[in-house]
Amino acid sequence: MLLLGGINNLNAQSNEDCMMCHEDPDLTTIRNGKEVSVFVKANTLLKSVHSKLDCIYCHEDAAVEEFPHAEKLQPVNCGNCHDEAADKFNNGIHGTALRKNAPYAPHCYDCHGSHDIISSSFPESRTYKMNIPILCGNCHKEGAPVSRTYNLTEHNIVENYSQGIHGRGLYESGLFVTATCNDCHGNHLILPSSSSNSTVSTNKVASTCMKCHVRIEQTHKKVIKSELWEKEPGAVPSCTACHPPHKVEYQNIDKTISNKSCLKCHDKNASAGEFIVKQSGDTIRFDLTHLTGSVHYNIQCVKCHTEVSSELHRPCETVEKVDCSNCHIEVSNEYFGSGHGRGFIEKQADAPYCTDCHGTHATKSKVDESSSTYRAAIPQLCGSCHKEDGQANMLGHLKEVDAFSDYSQSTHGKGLTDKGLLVSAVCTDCHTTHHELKESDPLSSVHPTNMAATCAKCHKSIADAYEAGEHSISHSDGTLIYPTCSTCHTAHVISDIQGDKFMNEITNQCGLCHEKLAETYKETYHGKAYLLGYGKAARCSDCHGAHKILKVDNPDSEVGYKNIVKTCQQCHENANLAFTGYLTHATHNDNDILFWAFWGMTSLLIAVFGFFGLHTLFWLWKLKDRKNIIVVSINVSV
Amino acid sequence: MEIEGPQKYYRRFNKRQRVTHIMVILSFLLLALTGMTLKFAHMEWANWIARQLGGVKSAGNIHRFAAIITFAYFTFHLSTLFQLKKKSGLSLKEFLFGSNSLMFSKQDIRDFVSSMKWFFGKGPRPDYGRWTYWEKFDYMAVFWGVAVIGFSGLILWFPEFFTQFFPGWVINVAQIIHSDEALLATGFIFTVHFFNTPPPPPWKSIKKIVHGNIKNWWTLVN
Repeated sequence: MLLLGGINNLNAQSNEDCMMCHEDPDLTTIRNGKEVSVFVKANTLLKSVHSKLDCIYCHEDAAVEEFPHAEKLQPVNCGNCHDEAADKFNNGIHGTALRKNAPYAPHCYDCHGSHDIISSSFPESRTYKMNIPILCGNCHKEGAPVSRTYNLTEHNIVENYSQGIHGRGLYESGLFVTATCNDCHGNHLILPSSSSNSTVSTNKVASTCMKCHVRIEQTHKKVIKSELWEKEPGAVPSCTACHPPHKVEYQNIDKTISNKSCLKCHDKNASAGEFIVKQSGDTIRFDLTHLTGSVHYNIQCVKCHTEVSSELHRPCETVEKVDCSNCHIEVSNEYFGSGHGRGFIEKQADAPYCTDCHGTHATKSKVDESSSTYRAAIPQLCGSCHKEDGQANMLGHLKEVDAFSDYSQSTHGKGLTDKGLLVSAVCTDCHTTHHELKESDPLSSVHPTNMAATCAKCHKSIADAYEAGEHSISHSDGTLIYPTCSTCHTAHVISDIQGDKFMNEITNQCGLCHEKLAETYKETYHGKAYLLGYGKAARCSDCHGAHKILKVDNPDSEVGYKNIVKTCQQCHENANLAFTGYLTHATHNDNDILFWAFWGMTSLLIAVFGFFGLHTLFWLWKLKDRKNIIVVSINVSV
Repeated sequence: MEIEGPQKYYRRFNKRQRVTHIMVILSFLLLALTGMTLKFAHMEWANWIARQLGGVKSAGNIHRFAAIITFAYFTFHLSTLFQLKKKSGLSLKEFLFGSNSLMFSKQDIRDFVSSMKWFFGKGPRPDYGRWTYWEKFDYMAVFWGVAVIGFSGLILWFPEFFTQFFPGWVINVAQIIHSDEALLATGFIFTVHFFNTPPPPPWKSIKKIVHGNIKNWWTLVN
């Protein structure tokens, strides 16, 4: 610049030289067949940002030795200095149009002015923030030549902008920070929204809006999932899909339809106790008192019934089923992943929707005792479908047919109802509140691999013991069936282990897998006494442990050599090591002595019964024939 | 059966022997009932009996109580034998192998052969001695049965004590022997002894058992 300045000084052509001619107000030239003024007001330049520059600095071809300069000068190239802005401009739609000599294509000076160019930080500047909509609107306002000549997708841009939240912010609230055209579209690199590089393209509009609405991800509840918004543009609606560009409004529905207009018809009392009858014949039973007692008491009708149309005489005509995910987005996502939600998506009849559990207008908080989702009421709530003849069984594919009745008998159910324990497990504690899935689903909280962790929410140390034992399903390689909590304790009939019922079942439960051991156990006196209902008879868990069950040959197991004497001593106080040599699950094939003892005794039995059986039959047969009977001579012994 | 004519009674057991026999009967029935209940614990009837007896623990107590009676009459019987020997003034050999003895003798083999012939119609009914050979078997079975079942029963009753001298598997063996020997005894009493020793039908034998006499009913019917 300095160098250039130096050269100019050498030429010694000053602004005064130029002004000698151009200060004449009548000086004109013919351009494109029209007579235009080339008069330059002397003080105009002084106010401009370029006041320190000489004329020839911009009008390069005016720097001539002999005056006057050429009749026709080249247009000023701002890019000589402002090369960055010029590049952007040239790549943008305005620059492209200009190169093609397209009609109404703007030059730099169309926006920035020529000799009167002022910095955008001055309110008088055409590019001052508050003036931008007017500047852009020169061409892009309704009825302007540009909007008539070109097929722009947006109409009434200035009008819409002015009525939108951004425009009102600018004009009504005087907000300097409100968005103007260039904040979204860029200053120089302006591209049509159809271009993928455009700041207002579907892909990029979110990040553009987020220049100001930085935390919109966290605060915006209507967008399906914040991360999708970023990672998969287009997978979810972009900002502009809901908020029409230019006419961005906060919540026009909220503004236009108040509860009062809904209650004109829907307040039961107002319509003398008559219910509203739909065309389909359904009645709408809306009772205002329900809403006043609900957690949504301060939520406007239209916040849930979103599809109202303010243009209609009856705005609710277009109303569809309420979509709770508008606000309860995370919970809704869980729900739609659950068996209930999947059924709902597949349009299965009877698939429960939010309102089936939470109610409609009378929705209450789960901590409210009168709520259907109050903790103590949960079994009743779930049980209304999950009972023997309930709706849940209509499809006929549930493993647990009578969950409600089974649960009610269980230690959990009795804890809740008989002992009044609110901490007692209810349906949702095991099945989750919104992400209920069948046991067979690997994502389910009650899938075998997740079972221990689910029970561990309350029974932590027991789950830890289970995980440490051989039975832990974490050892499973898929070839063997591993037991989980519910294998022994059942899914819903979970009995109190102190009670006889559970302990009477335990050998059957172990026997489900350990068939042979269960059989041989029943041959022992432990097993026999147990079969006859002796509660103190040693059972599987008494010797092998209940949860941390290790293999018999593991020294650390309850029946391993480290612990066996102690284990037997639980009942046989004087037990010693030799005592533990008793073969608890013995069969007569276990060793030679048992083998011969068994077959020796069996042979003896067969021989004696065979011999005397026949002998007695003959004897009785002979006695029938009375002739054979002879007095037995007996010597009397005194 | 109508009883006609004069009735003749033969006393086979003296009073001590009759008391012993009654103890045998009582203890045996209790042992058999409670023991079989345990042995056939998986059967429905065993469960029912256990319940009637006030549970398996109570049944076990009855079993042990009857066992004490058994040990008592066994001791008593041994003393009776000594008394008998002393009274008879016989030497041990004469006492053990004499005609009144319940010890097996060569005569029993001859009686058996004759019985076989009689059964198959090849000869007359043999004239048995004071004791038929199956009556002797009855006695011997009980005598040794009490010893075997009694000892194995003690092992099962006090396993902690016996494993101070024996290895643990002895309990398993004792269980097999105790159980099978008991099955043998019970089966034998109910199927052979009841029909073979007193004249049938068995339910008319109670009086005879109490009195220790056998009515010479063959005489009556002839």
